[in-house]
Amino acid sequence: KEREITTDENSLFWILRYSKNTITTIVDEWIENYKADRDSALISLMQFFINASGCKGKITPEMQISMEHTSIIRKMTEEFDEESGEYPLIMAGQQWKKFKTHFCEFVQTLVKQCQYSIIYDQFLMDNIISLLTGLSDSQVRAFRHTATLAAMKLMTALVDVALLVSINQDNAARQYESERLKAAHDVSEERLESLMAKRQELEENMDEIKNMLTYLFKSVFVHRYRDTLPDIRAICMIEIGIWMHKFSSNFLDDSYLKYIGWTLHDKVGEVRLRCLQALLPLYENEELKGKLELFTSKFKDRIVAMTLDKEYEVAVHAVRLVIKILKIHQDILTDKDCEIVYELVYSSHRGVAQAAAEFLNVRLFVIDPSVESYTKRGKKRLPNTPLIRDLVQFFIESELHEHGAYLVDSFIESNPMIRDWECMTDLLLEEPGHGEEAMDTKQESTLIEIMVSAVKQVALAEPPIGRGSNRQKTLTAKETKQVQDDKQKLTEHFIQTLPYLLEKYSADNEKLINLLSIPQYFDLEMYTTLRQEASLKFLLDKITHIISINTDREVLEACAKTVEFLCTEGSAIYTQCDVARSNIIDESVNRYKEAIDDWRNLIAGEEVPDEDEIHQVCISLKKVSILYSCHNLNPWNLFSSLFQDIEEYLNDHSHEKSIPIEALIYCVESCFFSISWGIASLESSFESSALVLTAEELRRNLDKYMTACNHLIKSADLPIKEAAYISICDLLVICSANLGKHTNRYVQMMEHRPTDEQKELLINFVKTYVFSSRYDEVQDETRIEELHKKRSHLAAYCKLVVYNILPTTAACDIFKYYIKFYNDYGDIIKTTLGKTRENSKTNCTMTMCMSLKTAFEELQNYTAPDKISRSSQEFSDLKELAKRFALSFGLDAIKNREVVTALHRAGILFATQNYNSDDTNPPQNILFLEVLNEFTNKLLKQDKKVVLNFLDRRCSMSSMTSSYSDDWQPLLNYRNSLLHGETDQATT
Amino acid sequence: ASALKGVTKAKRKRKLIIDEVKNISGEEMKAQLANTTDIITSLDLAPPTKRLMNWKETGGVEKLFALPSRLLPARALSKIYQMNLVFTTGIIDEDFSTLG
Repeated sequence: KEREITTDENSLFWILRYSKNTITTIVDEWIENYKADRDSALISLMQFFINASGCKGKITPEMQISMEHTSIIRKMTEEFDEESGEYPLIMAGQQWKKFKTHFCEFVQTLVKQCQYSIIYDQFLMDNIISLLTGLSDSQVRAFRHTATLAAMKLMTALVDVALLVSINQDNAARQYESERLKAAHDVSEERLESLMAKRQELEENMDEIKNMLTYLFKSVFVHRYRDTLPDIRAICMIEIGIWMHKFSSNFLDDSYLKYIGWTLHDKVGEVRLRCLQALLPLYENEELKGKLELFTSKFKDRIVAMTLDKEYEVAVHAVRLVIKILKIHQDILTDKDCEIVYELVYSSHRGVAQAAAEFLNVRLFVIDPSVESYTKRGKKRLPNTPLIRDLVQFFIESELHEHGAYLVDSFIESNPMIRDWECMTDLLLEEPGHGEEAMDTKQESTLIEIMVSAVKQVALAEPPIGRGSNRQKTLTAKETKQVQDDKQKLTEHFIQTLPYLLEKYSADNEKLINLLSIPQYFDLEMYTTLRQEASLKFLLDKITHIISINTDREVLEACAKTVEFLCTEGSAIYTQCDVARSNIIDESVNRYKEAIDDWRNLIAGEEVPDEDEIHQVCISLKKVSILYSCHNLNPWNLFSSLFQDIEEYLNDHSHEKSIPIEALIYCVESCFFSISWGIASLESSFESSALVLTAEELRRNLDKYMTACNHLIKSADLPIKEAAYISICDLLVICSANLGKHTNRYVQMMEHRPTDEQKELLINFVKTYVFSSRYDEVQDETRIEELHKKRSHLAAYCKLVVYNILPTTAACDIFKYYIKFYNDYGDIIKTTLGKTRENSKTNCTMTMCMSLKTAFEELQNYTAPDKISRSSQEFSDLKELAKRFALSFGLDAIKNREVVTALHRAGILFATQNYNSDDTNPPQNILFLEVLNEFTNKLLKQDKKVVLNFLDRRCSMSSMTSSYSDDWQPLLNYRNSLLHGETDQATT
Repeated sequence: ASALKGVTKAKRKRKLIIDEVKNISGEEMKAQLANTTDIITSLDLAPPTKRLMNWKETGGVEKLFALPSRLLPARALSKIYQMNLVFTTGIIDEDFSTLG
């Protein structure tokens, strides 16, 4: 049960926390008490502020009579429970959050309910203000924080009162004037006098409220806005913003605004955020505009700079404020200021980028209805046309991004131009009309990039990587419907326009790559529902033509992928697309056959193929391999021909008669696809006797191919090794033991387990190419690409271990590099460690032990004939590795007790290997005990004893004492930590 | 005994917080007005090229362990790969006799 600050059930603190009554009722009851006995009611209110600060001290009537507030506060400070650092405002939990709200509400309700008379009684307010002023000046944080909050809320409540008084003043003035202007005989002197008195009273009241506000401002705010506690500064900024907004005639003034301006430089993000939040509503109000001019010019630079604030939330608000400033004081922002905000559309943070896009929407992308233009053939350009042109220009000139995904994402929710497909394609397809400027090729490429990025995001309803943080994962039914509608709209549009775009830009690969991907985002059924079979034929013809004449890898890949999508099984257009696909494959296969036949004839005739003949082989194989990656080319029976060149390469050591390396890699890839497609089709066919031949042939091909890959890994050329390595790793997954459990026995036949030779080849590849030393530290794209490749190779291997295709021990050499390659591969090795541990604690732990042992032995060989130096960097790296392994066990020593004990035993056996108890020299591997020592804190106390006994049996202390030398030190250290060392978790 | 110690340790509250210095000094205020470099950062640019964006997408450890090493753009192939990327055989304790 929590500590109670007071147990007095009649105290306001208790009532506010536990009473079911509304706050107004609680306040009204207190007012009744106040009317009956104002001294005791005042004590109760003062007591409330003391308790609300978390102080148990009690104010007695005697104290109230005899002591100044400052003395009472001193006494309360003395009585503050020294054991407590927390106080209600900062206590965690829902109930304390609620209390904080109630506390603020109480203060404000109190003023509200007293506003007609009691606040002017020169007693209540004087006392509260004096007490809160004193408390807000205390060194005791709890008093200062609580009293500042109360004082600021008190001011906000007084601002409300002032506003009401001001309205009453206006009414009274009007009444007085109308009475006075009545015809002389109707004027009642008496009534005039009473109205006059009323006006005077209201004026006095207003003066009094203003006095209170000024006093509180000077005695509390002016000190606390620069309190050392950020929370207190934040409170001040929130409330001053409210006063300025509500009571602008009094507070919206540079003598107050400067406090916010200064605090914009606060070191704490939360406080800066409060400043911006205070300013935003002020700039929204047209009437307040003039009063902000000086402030704006003074602090504009700082506000613009805050768009690059360290805290994203602050940056987002700063951009929003700059937008408001732009709207009301257009001229104050310089071009440089605007550029700072412009660039933020490329930010990795979505909120900032979207806010920056909003700025551009206000400043740049505004539709001007008076501008009209027409294409050459007289079609009216859509209203977004100038905007799209500006967007393209903006993208080109900003020179920050080479692709459109993030720019599009910044605008997608705020500017409909980003999905104005017709406007965009008109710009691309329609000839410029009179007075229109034609787009140059760079502008066209840029527009296509933006357009296709937008198509992608609209169809997938997914922001680009890294921009998704502030968006929920699953779509609502309404959103799903919206996505579907958007997709249909874009499909409808591009079904017709895309073939023309492909026709127009067929000679420009950069544009083609983008354009060709568009159908992948189509709703394919619309070809039939809109009766657009002719457009489909047009599109397929275009793609067929492009594949036939183009040689660019990315263009071909885009074609292959799009055809794969168009050939979605079960769709109404499948047959039409499948026919086109067959034609495409026919043509590519024929070209390959011709090229390779020519090649082989030349080689057979001892001739040397010329450049064009070499080129034909490479290009045709490239097309085959790219098509194979997307389509099942097995009906064309290419495997033996493709494999033949691999075999010839392996048989011909000089490689003089082999096809070029590039072409050979296409063969390696194509054969891989051939086998994969073979298994995929086996898997989807019903068992039948006809399948047996297919299956047997596939199995033979698989074996041949695996053997060939084993040989290729030993080849001299790295790209070939890589291709073979990747093929083996992926096939080991596809043909894993899981296939052996398949219901189809022909599928079962395809199970392949790695041979010992293959295991050896794979780990050697990893050791040589993944864990090779890095040559340069420059973070250019080549280096990043290199790293990504290596990470992918490593993951390919680790995956085999994690999925139990290779045994855990196969990771022994990987674990070894955990520390040495931590920057590049730490995450991959860590995941492997974790997943193998999930699979089997024993296997994982013992593999760790093997890793350490291997690393230790390598170090021994490296330093031989000398001994490993305990103080060498290499040895401390090894200990560091052991420490990281130990840390990976986590804190629960009980969960791992058996494996950790086993690890110690195995380690001891290794350390004392070949040692006899009568030897006088210490064991050869004694230093390994220091490595083992890193794991002693993972042992339970009782297990330490067991390990110690085991150690003593292997290597007794007596031999050490009889022949002591420094060499025995590791044993001594290890023994000591087994005897005394700390254990991670206390035992029961 | 150590267990008991742990309990009292957890229950002990922090002491009353006294701020010897209540206000940010004038000098600090001035310094803070004069220099904001520590609360400002440079533009945190999203990946500027398609390749960098793709690497960011597929280069993370989770994707590396889930996707094939060679890109399998065909849905049928990707399916057969995913189907077999499962943990199948029961765990057997491996042979660690080399350890002794």
